[in-house]
Amino acid sequence: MKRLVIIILLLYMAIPMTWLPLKDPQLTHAAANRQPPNAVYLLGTDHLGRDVLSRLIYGGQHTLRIAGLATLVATSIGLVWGLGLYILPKFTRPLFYHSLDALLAIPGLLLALLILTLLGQSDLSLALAVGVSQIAAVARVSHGLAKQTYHQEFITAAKALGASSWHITRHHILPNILPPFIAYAGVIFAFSILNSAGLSFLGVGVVPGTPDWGVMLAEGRYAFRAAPWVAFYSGLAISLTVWSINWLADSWQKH
Amino acid sequence: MKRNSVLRSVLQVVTSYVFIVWLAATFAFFAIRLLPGDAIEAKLALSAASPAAIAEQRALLGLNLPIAEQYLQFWVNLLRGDLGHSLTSGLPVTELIGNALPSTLELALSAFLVALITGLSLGVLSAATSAHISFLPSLLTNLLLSVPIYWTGTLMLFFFNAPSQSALFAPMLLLGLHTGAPIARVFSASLKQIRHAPYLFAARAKGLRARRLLLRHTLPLALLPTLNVIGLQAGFLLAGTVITEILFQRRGVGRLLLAATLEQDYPLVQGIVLLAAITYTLANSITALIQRLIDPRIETVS
Amino acid sequence: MLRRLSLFVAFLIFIPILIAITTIAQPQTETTSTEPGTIVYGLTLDPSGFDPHINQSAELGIVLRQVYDTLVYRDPQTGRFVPGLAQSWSVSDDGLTYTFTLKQGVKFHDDTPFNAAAVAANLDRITNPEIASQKAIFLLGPYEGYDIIDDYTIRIRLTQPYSPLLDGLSQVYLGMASPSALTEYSPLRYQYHQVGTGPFIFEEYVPHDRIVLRRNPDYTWGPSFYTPEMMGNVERIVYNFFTDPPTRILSLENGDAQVMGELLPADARALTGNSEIQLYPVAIPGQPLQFLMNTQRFPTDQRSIRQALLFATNRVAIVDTVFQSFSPVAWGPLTANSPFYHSGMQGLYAYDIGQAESLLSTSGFEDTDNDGWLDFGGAPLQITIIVPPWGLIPEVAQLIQDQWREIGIQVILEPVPNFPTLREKIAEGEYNLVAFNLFGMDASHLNSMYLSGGVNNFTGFSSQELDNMLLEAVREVEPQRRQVLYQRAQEIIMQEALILPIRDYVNLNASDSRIHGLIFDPYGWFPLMYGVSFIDEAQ
Repeated sequence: MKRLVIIILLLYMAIPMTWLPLKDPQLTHAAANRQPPNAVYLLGTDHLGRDVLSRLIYGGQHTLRIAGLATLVATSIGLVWGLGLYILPKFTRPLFYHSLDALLAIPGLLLALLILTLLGQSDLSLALAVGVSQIAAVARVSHGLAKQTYHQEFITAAKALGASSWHITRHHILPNILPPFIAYAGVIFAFSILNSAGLSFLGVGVVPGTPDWGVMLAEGRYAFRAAPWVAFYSGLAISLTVWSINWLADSWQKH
Repeated sequence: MKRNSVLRSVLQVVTSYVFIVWLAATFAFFAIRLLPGDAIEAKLALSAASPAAIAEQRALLGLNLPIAEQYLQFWVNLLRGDLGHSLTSGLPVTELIGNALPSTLELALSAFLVALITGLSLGVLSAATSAHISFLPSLLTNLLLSVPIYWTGTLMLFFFNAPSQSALFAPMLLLGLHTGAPIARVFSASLKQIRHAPYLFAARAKGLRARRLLLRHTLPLALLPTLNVIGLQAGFLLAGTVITEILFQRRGVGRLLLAATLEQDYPLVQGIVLLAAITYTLANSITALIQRLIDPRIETVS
Repeated sequence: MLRRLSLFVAFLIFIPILIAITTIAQPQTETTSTEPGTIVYGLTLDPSGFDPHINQSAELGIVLRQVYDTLVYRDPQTGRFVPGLAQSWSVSDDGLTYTFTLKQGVKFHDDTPFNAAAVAANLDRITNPEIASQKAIFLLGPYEGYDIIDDYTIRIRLTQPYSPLLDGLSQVYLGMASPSALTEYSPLRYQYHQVGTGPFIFEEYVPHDRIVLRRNPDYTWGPSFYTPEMMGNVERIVYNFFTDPPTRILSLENGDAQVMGELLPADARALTGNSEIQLYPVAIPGQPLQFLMNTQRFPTDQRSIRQALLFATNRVAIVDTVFQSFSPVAWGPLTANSPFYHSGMQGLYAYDIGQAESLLSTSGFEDTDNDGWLDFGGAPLQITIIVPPWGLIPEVAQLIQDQWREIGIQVILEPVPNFPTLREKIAEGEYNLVAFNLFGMDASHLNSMYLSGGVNNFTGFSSQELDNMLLEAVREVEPQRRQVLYQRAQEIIMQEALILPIRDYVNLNASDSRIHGLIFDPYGWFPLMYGVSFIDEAQ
């Protein structure tokens, strides 16, 4: 079951959706705007007359790809930073450790906004913005995980045998913390979905009109009275996805 | 002798937190200056001001100085308690933040209380062994973790259309519940984990009553990792109010930060970052202190 | 099991108690409408400066129109100039000097008497380069200086005839501020302590939160259309910022605000039949919602391409869908309710895919690589549009993007979060279209946008003929001859296809239906609150 969900998620992110018999997600149909779900438009149309079903399917892919990229950025840099603390010479460790705390102390929104203003609004810069603003948290968690392992007997033994800190980190700590870390990466993935949607709400996220769950939800709010289904379906899609990712992470952890 | 070591460790903690705040402020100082342009240029571009006049205005505010010098000036002024003046509104940064802070504090503190109460109760309940009890709380926790906060907020606005402008209740509930969900999650996870710990079997075997077991042995231990999350959540609350403030048209630091960043109002951004960093480190040091009280084995700083 | 259950019950009890405590402990609010005589007015943008002499937003005028009087006013009914703080005026034959005779017995809210010296102090401030005026200084045109003839007579000198001067002097941006307040506060500080002579007194301004005005009990010197009988019962106005469009209607419904601007068209449409909320759609004269086309950048540097873009845009569909038919479709550089509007613009470049396609193919654009997009010599037909977030421009831009896609034109939307960023992006010059427009009664607002090198000339267009015409139109005093000149200017602008007009601006204001006497001045954006009453018939 878990594997199935993971495989479906990955396939969904990877495979282009153009082969599906869907309407063009960008195609506006002014005369058919704000139509409730019906036989032609299974999930209705939005305020510009675009097919909600098709936007939902294309949009999820867009959202998940951005969140995936953001997760990749956050976890790879965060893991290196968190573990690096054990490889670095001892006297530099407090500096790195505190710089991590300092980065956490800066509001994530500010980091994200800085990146988005610097690079301009685009998918790539959004993924970077969401990813970078979570690096410090990842680093802290991976450092915490490593710390638990570090104080176990077999590490002490390895040290006594004269293993280098690089060797210990690479061959003893990393394999040990990887399972819980992967679960944590799932949580970061879920956060990335929510955060990129939040930035779209603030008007600095995905370019308006792009089929993307965050954008759909933000735009759906504007038509909430006249066409509540747009916001409803996109909100539901985000929530269900985040939920199932959290669930995957949870059960992975228990494993 | 003993007092000396306590003093030393306190001193150590204080210096490390000052260092963290300094680092955060420094980082923000340089990061925001990576952006092209500034608020003055944006403002004066609208006027008939000549490039020379713009340069003059920027010089007046010290924006033309080498960045190292500006940085030095920033700290010299800060030590005098002067955070500078906002580039857009001309008001002292301390005054602007001072204006916005009470409303944010009101929201953040009350939301934190809600978060604490719901987080801990949901956590305990969803860790219950009986599915009858744990079903709803864990459903609620997962729901709050999965729904974007601005979506919950919008639904609240549309379906419980109470006057929102001045009322604290709705935004407090919204922010509190969403902040409480991660607390609930970690708390219930640690409770479940501890339940299977060998020493509890031993305690149970000794015939300890369930309540005593829960109160004396399980809860304090489960609280330790939970405190970490609580501390983090508390630290983020101050700047994490943006979306709630926008939804409910509340004045506050979050909205100020958003506007200041988009308008490239350097001094104001720096002021807010400083405030956020101080709150964050404060929240974390308090957490560390409490953790130490619960479990004296925990060292403060290595 | 039992214990866990009791814990659950405790939890269930505890939450309501907590809720009750926090609700009771919550401080009494200061902005409730229940307070007699106080209403909340919803502003929709939260601009960073509120000084009428310095800043340029329409938002500031919505508030400050009540605080300041101007030398002249425009009658809300006829749009003609009527005496304000000046009881009469005369213009010299050469059009170079305007002499104003001022009303006597007028007092600023701080009791400073209003006189010629006060007018002089205001003119000095506005023209002082140090305050870097964004709008007021431009309204003065070719201002040279003033002469104080006596205590209540002042003469304004111009270097050239400038017929829009009275128009400028009737706008809130040239409102008369107390000279004592101007000297007491620094230019940046003054906006928090504004003092005028108007029907409402400026009480406080808390940035990003509120502006509060209180009725001026001494106000007797208002323009002729403010009669004592029509004075309303509203004593205090609190202005709050409602920056999130979809929740504006909610705030009206739940009483958070009694008056609100810029409702979403769909929400306004749904109001028909609601007896508790009154809708006030107000057309704003000036330039329509439009996209300026950059003549300095490929491919909009070619006139035929610009024309093709106009033909390819189904404006009627846009207005129907996005604006719920509340707005007239715009065809030229002036809205239909503006003075000097050229009715010959009507229907120009009406939607015609065939025309658009033939223009594109005669310009050499073809889909050579069969990817669905037109290209020319390897360069794809790509149009970059800068899209600000206000005025439903993102929605309009999306529809345009889709309409143009049908004939193989690729549109890239470049969103900007706010006005400063918009200006920055424009300065970078890497755009084909940008949404930008100015409002105003006198067509002289065209100058900054279409004169060669004008401050707002974002089309990059420059033509001697158009320059001469626009410059002559502001020198010309005779309205008939100005009309001819502006007609010709509008024709040139559209012949060159410099803009893509979309809709005439209509501000969808709404109020609690217990609000009476709300009128708007001829500029459209600005309500006149003097006569506004809150009458609860149920009481």
